[in-house]
Amino acid sequence: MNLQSKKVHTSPASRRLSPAYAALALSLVLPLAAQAGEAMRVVRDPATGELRGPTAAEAAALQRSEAQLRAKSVTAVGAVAPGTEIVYPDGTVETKLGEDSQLYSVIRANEDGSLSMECLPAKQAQAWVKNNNARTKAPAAKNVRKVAAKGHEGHNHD
Amino acid sequence: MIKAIQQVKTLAAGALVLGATAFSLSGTAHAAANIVINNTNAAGVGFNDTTPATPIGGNPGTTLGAQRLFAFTYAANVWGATLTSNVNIVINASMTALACTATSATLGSAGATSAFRNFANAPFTNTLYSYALANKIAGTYLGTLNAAQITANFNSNLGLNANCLPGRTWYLGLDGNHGTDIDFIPVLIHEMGHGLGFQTFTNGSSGAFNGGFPSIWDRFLYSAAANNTWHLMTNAQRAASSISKDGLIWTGPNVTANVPNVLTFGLAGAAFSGANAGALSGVTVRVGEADYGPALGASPISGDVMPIAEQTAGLGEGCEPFNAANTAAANGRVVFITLGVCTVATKTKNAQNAGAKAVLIGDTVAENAVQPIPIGGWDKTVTIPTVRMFLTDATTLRSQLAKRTRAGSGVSVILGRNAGARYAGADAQNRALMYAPNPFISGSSVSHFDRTAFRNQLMEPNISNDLTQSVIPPEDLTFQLFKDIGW
Repeated sequence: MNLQSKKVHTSPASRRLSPAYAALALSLVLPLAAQAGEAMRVVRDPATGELRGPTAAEAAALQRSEAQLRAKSVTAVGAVAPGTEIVYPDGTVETKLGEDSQLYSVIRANEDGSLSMECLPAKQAQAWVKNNNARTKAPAAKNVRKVAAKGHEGHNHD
Repeated sequence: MIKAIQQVKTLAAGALVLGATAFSLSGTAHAAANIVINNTNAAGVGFNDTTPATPIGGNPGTTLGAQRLFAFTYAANVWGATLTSNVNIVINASMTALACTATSATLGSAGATSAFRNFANAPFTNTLYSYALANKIAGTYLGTLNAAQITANFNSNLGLNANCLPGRTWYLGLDGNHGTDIDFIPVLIHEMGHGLGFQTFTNGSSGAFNGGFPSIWDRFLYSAAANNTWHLMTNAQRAASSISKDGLIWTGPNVTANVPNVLTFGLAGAAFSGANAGALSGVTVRVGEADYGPALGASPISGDVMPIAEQTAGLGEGCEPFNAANTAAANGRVVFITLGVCTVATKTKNAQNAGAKAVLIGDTVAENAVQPIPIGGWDKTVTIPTVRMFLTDATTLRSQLAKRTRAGSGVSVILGRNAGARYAGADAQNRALMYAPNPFISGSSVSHFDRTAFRNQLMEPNISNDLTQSVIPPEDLTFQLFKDIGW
């Protein structure tokens, strides 16, 4: 775990990670980031769900991922397998989150010209956009059949 | 609002500094919490798009990319001005091409990159906290040096080509005057809110904790049916709670204390009476309110109800300026119009122009909910209230109104906050309801306020048109919830 991070992150370079200062930021960051190598790594066994030490291949993969992250000075979601846990010397445990923890805003234009907007996770968002996810119309009651067949309006946004 | 205005000033000054020092590709939002916006777009795209743009709605950018980044920084400033932390909050931000069709689009996403437990100063052991919140509580930067706490990515193609909701692009102004475009700012504030901690990591569908550990969120989720909080319940109990509709309750003291300051007292309802009211006689049904026009207030609106007939076959009820017959029916009365064909706001405006006092919208879709969903829409010239009725109630009413004559229908209604003596979006003990629809909606259920909340809240699962940019009372409960979980 980085114990000097506050100092680094109040530096001008790290406040503004523009491309113009990327090299400077990297030079400041890398020596401290190496402390991450002290972390004890555990993985969640995909079969049992139990935490265990990584296999050699898993450890190598983790090290590669962490090295890539340090080189970029940022962590991207999904760069390390979701669910991966990193245990630090003081007992702090980090669980990497993945796409499932990202929430998406999606929108559709309804037949009547209105917009409907929802907040959904990745998989549902993709399906929502692909299928246009119209509200399911009720079985046509005799006295609503005519208009119900023409259009609908969800929670529109226009 | 004062805080938001102050932030505009701060931001304007900051933008000038950024431009003068060639930091134009990234931004920094300074306030009680320092938010670092790490622009991860490549040159020429997303936040770096050099397409010329005209300053709009308080956004001074002169390129598309600059306006996007200014808006993003503005939204981050809302949070930066509200939260406190002595650890930078880093957001990896980008705008890229996301899933689109001609009629739908992914607007964008955000979320925490990691969750932490058992860190220094953690109030509860073996409890998951979102990254930025864990840093704040620990007072130091946890995890990988310079790692981002939040990743955010928004659609750079929206409205800009034929396959991505053409004609409906981002409104990048700061003043909310988005018209028929999509207001970028509230979407940004909403999604950033999730990244800052407005979410549980527990699977609401199965009830399973993430890695076997509850989220701090779960300590404040209460199931009325189980009479317990989530962190002490079984998987099955949590799963049942997730689809309990109005049975999932937030028990955090800060939210509860502020419910009376933010939400409207009394559930919106329609009370029917009259010789021809039939099964609705003496019945008060719940209704969903509109984003536009006046809200139902303490002073009820009453009147005889008349239906509006479709004038031109296929053009829908209430979609055209009312003819003489419909005007005679509407004038001085509450009108009943079936949903569909044109926007509800169009129907309302036509009814208003014909002298109607209020509009009842009959839904055409069955909902398994305790209240009809609210009505969206946008028309600042509307001065009469509009409410949505459940399909079942609307069907009954339509049947009764078929007995009308030109003189009247024999059905009267009182519209007001008369369907329950509690705050809209809270239980009888002033505790906010969380979104728990049946069936479960992964990611949306549980991690939002219930959509029955009124006034509308930033962190409902849908973005309402009447939101301000505030995250604090008297407009919004989001920051109060953040305080409950440790912010």
